[in-house]
Amino acid sequence: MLETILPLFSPWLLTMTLSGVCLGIIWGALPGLSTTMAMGLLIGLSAGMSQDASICFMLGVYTGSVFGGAISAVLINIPGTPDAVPTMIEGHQLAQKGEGGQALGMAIAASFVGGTVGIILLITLIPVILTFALNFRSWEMFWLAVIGILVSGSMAAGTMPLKGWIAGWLGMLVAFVGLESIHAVPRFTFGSFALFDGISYVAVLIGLFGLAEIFRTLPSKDVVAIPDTVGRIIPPFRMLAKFTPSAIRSGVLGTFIGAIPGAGANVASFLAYDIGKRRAKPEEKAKWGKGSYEALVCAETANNANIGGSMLPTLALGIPGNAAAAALLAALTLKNVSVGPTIEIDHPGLIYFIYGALFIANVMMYLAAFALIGPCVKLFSLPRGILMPLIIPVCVIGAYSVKLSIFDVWIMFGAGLAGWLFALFKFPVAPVVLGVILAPLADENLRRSLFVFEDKSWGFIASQWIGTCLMLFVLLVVVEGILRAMRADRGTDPEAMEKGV
Amino acid sequence: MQAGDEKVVFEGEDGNAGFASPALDLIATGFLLALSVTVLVASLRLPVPGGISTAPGLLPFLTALSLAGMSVLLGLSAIARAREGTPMWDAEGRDGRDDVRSVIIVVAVGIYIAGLQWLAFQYYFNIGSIPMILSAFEPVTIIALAAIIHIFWRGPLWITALVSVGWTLTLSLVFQKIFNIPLPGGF
Repeated sequence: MLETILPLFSPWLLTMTLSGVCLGIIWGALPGLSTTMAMGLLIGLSAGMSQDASICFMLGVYTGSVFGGAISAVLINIPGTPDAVPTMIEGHQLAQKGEGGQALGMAIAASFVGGTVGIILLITLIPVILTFALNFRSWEMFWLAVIGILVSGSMAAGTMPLKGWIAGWLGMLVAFVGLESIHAVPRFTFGSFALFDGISYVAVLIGLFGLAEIFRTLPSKDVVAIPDTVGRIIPPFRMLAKFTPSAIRSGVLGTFIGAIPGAGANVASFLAYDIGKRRAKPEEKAKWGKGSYEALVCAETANNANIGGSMLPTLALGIPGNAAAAALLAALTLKNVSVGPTIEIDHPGLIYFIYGALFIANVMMYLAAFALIGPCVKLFSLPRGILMPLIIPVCVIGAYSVKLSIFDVWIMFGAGLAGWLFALFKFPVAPVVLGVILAPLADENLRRSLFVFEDKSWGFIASQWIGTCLMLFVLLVVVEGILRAMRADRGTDPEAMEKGV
Repeated sequence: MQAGDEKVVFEGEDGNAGFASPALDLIATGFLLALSVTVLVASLRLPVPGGISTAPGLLPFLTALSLAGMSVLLGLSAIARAREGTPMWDAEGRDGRDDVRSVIIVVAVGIYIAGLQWLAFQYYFNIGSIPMILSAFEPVTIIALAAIIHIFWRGPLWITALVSVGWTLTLSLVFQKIFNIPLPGGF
């Protein structure tokens, strides 16, 4: 184990991790630039790196960008990433009282605690899941892929799960293009050789999360008020100690939420914020929504713990925990790293390397965050009309660099256009990415299992108890989604209704 | 989510997703139904080299069939909401000028990519002893960036030009020299 972790301390890999963390923090801090966008675009940059450097860099970006959203949320009242909305509510209220620096300091400390809790739970739980997952065969893998897409759809579009499922299904259709894996029959290529290799999911990812965001946000004219001073950043130790139990509770919650496919940092921070208030002491509860440090700690811990959680299904099952983890999966695939139940057999020691890289990225995030607050405040003053166009060539290079194909750049452009239309028609985009990534897994495993089941009775199929349980879970997700949509339609959905927090 | 009055509304992982105006949902239904039927037909036309259980068109067929079903549900939900009094078209505070600007940026990016494809060239030269490559990426990106920044920012032209040239050369050097990644616009 030690020999796989030691290389992480080489100057080159430390530099790559730090570069990823710094880029991630700055990216996450800039309004309109999300974690998934950062991960998707920077896959292109990681394409030219070695496998180890690429993993360190991408995990650094992931860790940094999830925290980065807090900077703009606290200082300019705009959440850099969607999960920073609860942080924005509390942090900006504190900033208006002249405690913006201290609020950011608490957010940094909470993010570090969250990241650490997530990594510890990842290390603890992954052996259990891997042992269990080794029993999974084609039938079980097919249902797992379906669950990944369905749950992602369900979580993405709260009141209208149908739209989330449709988005996931559209992603699957995209993935069916190209030579299929069993008989090598070209599917939906319409005679175009460029489509024989399939549609690059990296290009789709960059288009949906990068270009579409530019199409959406560049035309709007938002004016940002930049604070003159940030104030004291490092919070007193007494305050840190006071909120430790809330931080650990929210960290555990964030990790488990992260392990659910499709449930990302957004769900984690909102839920931890909600539960935090229910469990807070009356005097602290009274501050909720008006500038509570505990509320800020709950939200920030949960969204960073989510990183470790999202790595659980990604590494153990090959099912991405969220869209950002899907981007990480894409980066790993580019390096011929196949994650899933056999990760320890296919890539011995890699899992320890990833644990170590995550831990180092988390420590670097803690240190770099303090140093980067000042430069980020300067960046906020950059007009959107200058900032957003600069991302366009990065999108183009990112899509091109995977296969050095201009065709993929056009795919990225098409995906960007589709992403823009998705936003217009109020469809979520994250399930599309999960659909694109999981459809080949579902397709190959469905046909393999049907081939195995050809001469078997229904009783035999039902006796595959893990598969049967997963199938029942699929039914449960569908029924729950339908009920939620019906309640929302009648205006009685508890999620759609306002929660008194 | 609202601040101040201590109320929180969680609308799913993607806050933008949800009910659109009935007209938009009906347009989406029409498109999705057409797509489903196309995929259904195309998957039935695929060859079946082994048995039906390993047919290449099996999952695409099932996916398209269920997509058609979900599209119908989406359409029915839109009709029901329209009957309940939801306005067919809801502008939801949309600014028409923003839509025009969105179309402008889409067209500009399309022209930029087309420029990289159609004007591709590659020229090798040395700066001192360092070999360099100039391709269509640099001139096309500088022009495209300058144009887009000028349209959406309207600041002094010299800043626009400086940012476009500086950023393009930085990207070119970082990707080609540090990460050894060839850039589009060459061969």
